[in-house]
Amino acid sequence: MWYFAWILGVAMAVLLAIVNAVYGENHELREAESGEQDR
Amino acid sequence: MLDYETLKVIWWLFVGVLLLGFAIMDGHDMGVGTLLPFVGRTDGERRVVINTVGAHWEGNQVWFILGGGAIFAAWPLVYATAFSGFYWAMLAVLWALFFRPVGFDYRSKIANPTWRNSWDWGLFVGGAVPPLIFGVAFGNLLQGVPFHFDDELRSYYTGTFWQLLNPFALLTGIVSTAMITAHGANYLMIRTEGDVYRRSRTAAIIFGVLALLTFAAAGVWVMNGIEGFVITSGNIPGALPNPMDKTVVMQAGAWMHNYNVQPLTMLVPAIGFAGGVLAILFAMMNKPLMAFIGSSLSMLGIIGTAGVSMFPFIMPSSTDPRSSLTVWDSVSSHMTLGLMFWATLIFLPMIILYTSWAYKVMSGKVTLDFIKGNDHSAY
Amino acid sequence: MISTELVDASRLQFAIVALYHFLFVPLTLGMTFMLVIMESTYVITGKQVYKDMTKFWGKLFGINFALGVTTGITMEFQFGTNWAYYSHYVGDIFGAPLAIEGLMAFFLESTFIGLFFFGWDKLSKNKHLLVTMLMALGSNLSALWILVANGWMNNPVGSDFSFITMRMEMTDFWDVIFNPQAQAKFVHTISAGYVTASAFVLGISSWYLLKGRDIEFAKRSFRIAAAFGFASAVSVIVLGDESGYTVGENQQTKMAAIEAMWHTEPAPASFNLIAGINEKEQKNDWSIEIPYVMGIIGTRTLTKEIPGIYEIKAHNHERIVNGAHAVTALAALRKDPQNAALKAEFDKYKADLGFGLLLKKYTEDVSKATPEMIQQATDDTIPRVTPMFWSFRVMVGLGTALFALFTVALYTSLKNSCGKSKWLLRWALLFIPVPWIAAELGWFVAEYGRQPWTIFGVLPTHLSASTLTAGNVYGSIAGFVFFYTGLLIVEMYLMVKFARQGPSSLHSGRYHGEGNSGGGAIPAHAPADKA
Ligand code: HDD
Ligand code: HEM
Ligand code: HEM
Repeated sequence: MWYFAWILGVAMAVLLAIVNAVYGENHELREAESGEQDR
Repeated sequence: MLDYETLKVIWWLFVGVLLLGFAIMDGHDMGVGTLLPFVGRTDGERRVVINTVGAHWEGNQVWFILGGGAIFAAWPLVYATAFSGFYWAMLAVLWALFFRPVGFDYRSKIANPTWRNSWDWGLFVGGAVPPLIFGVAFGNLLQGVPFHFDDELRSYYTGTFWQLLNPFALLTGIVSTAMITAHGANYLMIRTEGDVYRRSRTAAIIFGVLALLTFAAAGVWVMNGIEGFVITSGNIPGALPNPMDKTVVMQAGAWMHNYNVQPLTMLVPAIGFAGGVLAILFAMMNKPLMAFIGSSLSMLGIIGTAGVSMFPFIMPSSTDPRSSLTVWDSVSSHMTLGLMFWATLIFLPMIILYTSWAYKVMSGKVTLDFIKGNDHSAY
Repeated sequence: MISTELVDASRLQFAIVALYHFLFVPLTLGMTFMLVIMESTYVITGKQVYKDMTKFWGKLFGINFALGVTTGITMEFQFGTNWAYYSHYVGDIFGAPLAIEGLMAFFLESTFIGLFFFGWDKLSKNKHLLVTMLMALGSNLSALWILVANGWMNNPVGSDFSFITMRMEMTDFWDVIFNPQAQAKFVHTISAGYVTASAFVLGISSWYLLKGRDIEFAKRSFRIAAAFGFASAVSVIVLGDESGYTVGENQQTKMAAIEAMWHTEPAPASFNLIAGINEKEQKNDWSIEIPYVMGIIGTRTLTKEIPGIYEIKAHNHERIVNGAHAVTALAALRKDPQNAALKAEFDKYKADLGFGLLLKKYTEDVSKATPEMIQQATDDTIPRVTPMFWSFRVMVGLGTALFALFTVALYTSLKNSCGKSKWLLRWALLFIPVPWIAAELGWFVAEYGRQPWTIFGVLPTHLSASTLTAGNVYGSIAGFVFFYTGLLIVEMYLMVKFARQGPSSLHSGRYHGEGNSGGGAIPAHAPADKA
């Protein structure tokens, strides 16, 4: 059932991208904070 | 499941509904396109005009696309014969339509006046040409089209492009363009104010009157000068569709036959006139919403008149009358018609619902101030 | 008889307008979901930069969408204007998905795209996101239905020929929808669209990073494109393999041509990585082979054979001879529909009717076909091998390269070091056009590989055309070339102009060259303006 796989697949891909974006934001925040401490 | 004969009639009605949906929805933004260079004198005014349909023309155009798709699915023989027979006319419609998506979307992305002015005329072509050609096509259907089928049901069109442009067809072309332009003018009155509003009102009245006069003239012409078609044998409504299974003759006054048998159908042309008169009166009284409803009714009547006059014919043949396509013999199989019936019943109400929502969200007048405030995001 | 010149002109026109339409389609399919991702992130994090991203990439998407619609209308007309007999012969099945596409998908996509662009100030955050999602759903559903139609052309299930109406008629709609070939095509093509949009955003973002402008904006776009692109590149490959499998099941001629398999090999067959194809002598002069792989891809077993071109031809020769009886019986039956003997004769050979029709290219009266004609028709059943073989390999090669690109891009984005390695940014920029090339080649493989049929095994291309003159079609080709060239120039001009301007084209005062302290570091963390 490839149609079903599509529904799941595209939802997962979208989620993956959102999570990656949010993860990047956190990563950056942490780097910014640790950068401030270094200084 | 509904029986085959009933489904055939339902699909005749559905195609009518789709044509009407096209005329009301895509029609109003085609009318807006036609009027654009005339009711908008400055760039700001023109942007006001374009933005009245900015959020909607895209969805409205699907009525046109769906018209094509539905005819393909429900009347494949009509789709095949009409589109290939009217080859150059169809391409003219298509190429005129090319100007719309790009015109709307690209015009205001660059400030150069020549650029913008060119696209404005492009939108004019995209708005005026398709209704004109559809009207001409209906004029030709009423007179019969020169085509025939061979034993394998391959269709041959034996006329020329120029022959489509005969006087009667040009008259019906004007009916169609005028009614759609008047309808667009009524819509513009709803969504604009000031100068644009005033000019639209004038246009609504002029084209409304023109539509009624030409519609009346075409009616008189059909009664007195056009030969209709009559089925003389075969063509059983419930039978498997095979257009070669009947005999047909041409006869003066035959297009009046349905009105004589069922006098109630006289209401259809009456609605065409009454709606048109109401639209003009309401436009004069500055009641644009009522005028819009009036012109919608008028289009219902005018399109309905063509349908009722010809029923059960869809595309009569002038050179080989028995090849004529009718409601009974140009349809898809029982299964496909049934399936598409349910698909339409499910999706059409949903479409109407979310389209109405979209209009509600975007409702209100489009003003010059709005354009100034949204210089880079509006059309 | 229909002239070959007319048919070739009609094919040329169809190829031009279809391939042209598909320049805009994949970006629409993928960008709508990219916009969903960006806007969802905006709603989740509340950061203005994601809203700006949605608007800016949305602008580029809009420029593309306009031409997608323009060229799509051509496609809707094309079957009636140029393939009238086809429309009559299969409209009963083929027309239905097209109409449902309009009802279910085009309305959705087109109504909500208006609100997407014009509804920012009129809708709440969540409602606007919902609008974006419905637009994405609509565009993808449109691909679903058109590929159900196209899948049916390649594997005509759920239908039967009726001699009274002289056409194919639907017998089972579910079979048509759940046609394995349609399913494989849908998921493969739609993933191709996602890859295209990801590569587009990745490449343009990389360009900003290379230029060192709008860094915060570009980095965030890069991250999203890398993740979405990675998932899509994986699925394009997995589902490309599935497409290959369904082709192997249902279209042996296409499969044999793709693989340059002249003869049946003992199972499991080996895979020709590359080969020197000798079309004249019908053999490969040399080849680099990988043992077993072909058998596994094509049949998913170690024991089933994949038939070679010689064997397929021998079989088709037989079917053409039988089909000629079907064609003759059908003609008689149409004149005398009640005749039971004729009906029995027709039913006996009905399965090969399509093959008999292949002879109509050479003679009006099929019963008088000479052995030479039958041989010619048999040779016709195999598409030319060389273009099939190489197009397929280039597509697969590009797919693999895209996978590599997105893998590296995702890796750098996880390490939060995107923008640091210049070679990766250049690679991404260079790869913007690659998915388009792969997709066009894919269509070539799928459609050219279906020849000589429009409906595989049922209706020859030669009979499908309208009864126009070749001159008419040349005229319309000239018109299309004229309009499409002009449109493409305008589109590319705008696309490049706005891509160069970047997010400054939003005139929000927050980006490159708009007189704030460069880099856009401020907007990224600034709170959003009004919803
Ligand atoms: C895999 C996807 C796919 C394929 C194979 C095709 N299309 Fe397409 N089509 C789309 C995916 C798409 C889309 C993504 O939905 C488009 C492209 C850009 C756009 O604006 O919508 C679109 C637009 C589009 C439109 C305008 C719709 C609108 O106004 O919203 C029409 C009428 C068609 N197409 C018709 C066709 C026909 C008749 C095709 C077959 C020959 C075809 N398309 C192939
Ligand atoms: C947009 C994506 C598509 C592309 C890029 C594409 C590409 C092509 C190409 C290259 C040809 C020419 C083949 C040849 O004659 O050598 C062709 C022919 C054709 N395709 Fe497609 N195609 C697409 C979608 C479709 C779909 C979805 C359908 C049907 C639903 C379809 C139906 C046809 C028909 C009827 C022909 C003409 C007859 C023929 O030459 O086979 N195509 N297409
Ligand atoms: C890397 C592995 C890939 C494999 C194994 C693969 C396999 C295939 C096969 C077998 C077909 C023919 C299907 C048919 O005739 O029905 C096909 C068609 C196609 N391919 Fe690919 N492909 C790959 C990569 C790509 C990439 C990277 C793209 C574009 C970004 C792409 C786009 C297409 C398109 C648009 C079609 C035509 C639609 C269809 O028939 O599904 N493919 N592919």
